[in-house]
Amino acid sequence: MMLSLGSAASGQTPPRFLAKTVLATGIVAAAAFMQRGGFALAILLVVAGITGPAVRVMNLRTNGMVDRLRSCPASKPGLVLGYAGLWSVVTLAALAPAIAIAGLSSGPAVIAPAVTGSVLAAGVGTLCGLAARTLGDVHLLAIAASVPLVAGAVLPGPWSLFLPYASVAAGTLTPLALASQIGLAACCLALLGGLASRW
Amino acid sequence: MTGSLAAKSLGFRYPGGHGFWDVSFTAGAGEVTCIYGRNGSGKTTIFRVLSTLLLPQAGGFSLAGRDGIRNRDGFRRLIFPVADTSAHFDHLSGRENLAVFRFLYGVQASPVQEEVLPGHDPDLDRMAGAYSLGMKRKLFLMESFLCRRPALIFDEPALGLDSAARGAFFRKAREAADEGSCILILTNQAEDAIHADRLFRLEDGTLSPVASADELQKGLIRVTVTYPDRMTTGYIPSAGDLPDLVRTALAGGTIRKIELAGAVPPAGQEPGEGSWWTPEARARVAQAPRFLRPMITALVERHARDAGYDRITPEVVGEAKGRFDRQ
Repeated sequence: MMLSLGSAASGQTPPRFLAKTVLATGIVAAAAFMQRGGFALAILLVVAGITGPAVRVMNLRTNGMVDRLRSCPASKPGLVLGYAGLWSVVTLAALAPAIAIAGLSSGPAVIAPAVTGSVLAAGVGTLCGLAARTLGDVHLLAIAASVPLVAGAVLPGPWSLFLPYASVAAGTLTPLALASQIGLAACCLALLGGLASRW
Repeated sequence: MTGSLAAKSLGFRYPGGHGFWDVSFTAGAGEVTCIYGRNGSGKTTIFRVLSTLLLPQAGGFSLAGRDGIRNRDGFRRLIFPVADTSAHFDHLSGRENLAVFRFLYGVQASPVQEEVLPGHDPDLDRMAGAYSLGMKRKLFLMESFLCRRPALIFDEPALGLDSAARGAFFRKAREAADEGSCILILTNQAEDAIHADRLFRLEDGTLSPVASADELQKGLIRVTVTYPDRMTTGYIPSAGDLPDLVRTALAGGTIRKIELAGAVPPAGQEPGEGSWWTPEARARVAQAPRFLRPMITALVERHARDAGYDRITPEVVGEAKGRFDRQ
């Protein structure tokens, strides 16, 4: 049942999942060859982590499935948080070989922020999918959300403490940074759950 | 748990003014209640309000004492809404879709799950994305009956169903009502009204009770479509709805004849015959495909009657054609 639910929510089929994994592994391996493995992984986490759940939510909205789920008796925050959680697992699983390569090239410090980053990206992506009105909007919103996150990952600044992608790109992590990043991801999920509870 | 679905002074208007206002009705437990309305009359808006997807701007609704606005979660536990779009998880099989919705509605697996619409169930092992419109509809209807809620709310339930599956659906709805469920059907098909115990007409956003299916069908034009192997009867509110009906009928197979009831020639004349028609007018109608001739004849006679002509000439046929084309 959980497998059906997972597949139902993410819309992932084995070929699609495999293609994503192969592509991400290739990109990170090539970047690691030039000592930029963490940087490539950070971008992939943002882009794949946000666009996947955002576009899927919009598809579920346009075909009427979101309305079906809204009017069913299941807990709405549970459904939405489950969806975001599931997408973070899907992103992590698809990028697992890429994370391993980046871990080998940039150090094991990329692993924990990669996990936090996938949760944050899934939360942001779900929010984008719920906020957009059309499929065109959802792509624009996903890009609009991705650009500052990628920029924040590349350009050092006070935000680097909170952004897991900055730690992934730099390959460094302090306990304070990890705690801040977990806090940011938790805030994003809390916002999502709060919105869903009003359905 | 059983109980009546009651709406009181319910109202919702979209910014453009469409919607419904001051709608009150009761759909009793153990009954099939039908709300008939033309396209755009507000049925789907009522459906969305009763499905708790839209918050009404006026009035309220409840089921078995649970308020649909203040106790939305409690209300949702009692209903299964079937929208006019048959949304499913396309890359899951029909059986997996059933399992997902049973899980979401907290229903245990039923040993008789594959015999919901006997003889009409879709192939449950195929991906739902590969289903036709009618198959998706059947799967949605199966889910509604399997989840066994006290109230089932259907918006255009027979959309895309063939006539046999349509019959199976109404039999199943009757069975569910006999077991104590409250069945509410919102439809634009007047022929669905014969299955209802309680009947309402929704017109321009206002609801009024109708005594019987006959009374509802009295103000409508009956259209009979004859195929080589069967005959179907539908009702349309005006001749303007004929093009849609003809399009739908053509999709159902090769048509032998389309007949309209309700055209009344002057006293002493038979429809389509006698001195009401000039030979030239009859010759002009004869140019049309054979299966369309009865329908065109009825339309021309309707136009002649409405315009007060006492003789149908080629000009009158031309006028009727122009009117029909404009519509």
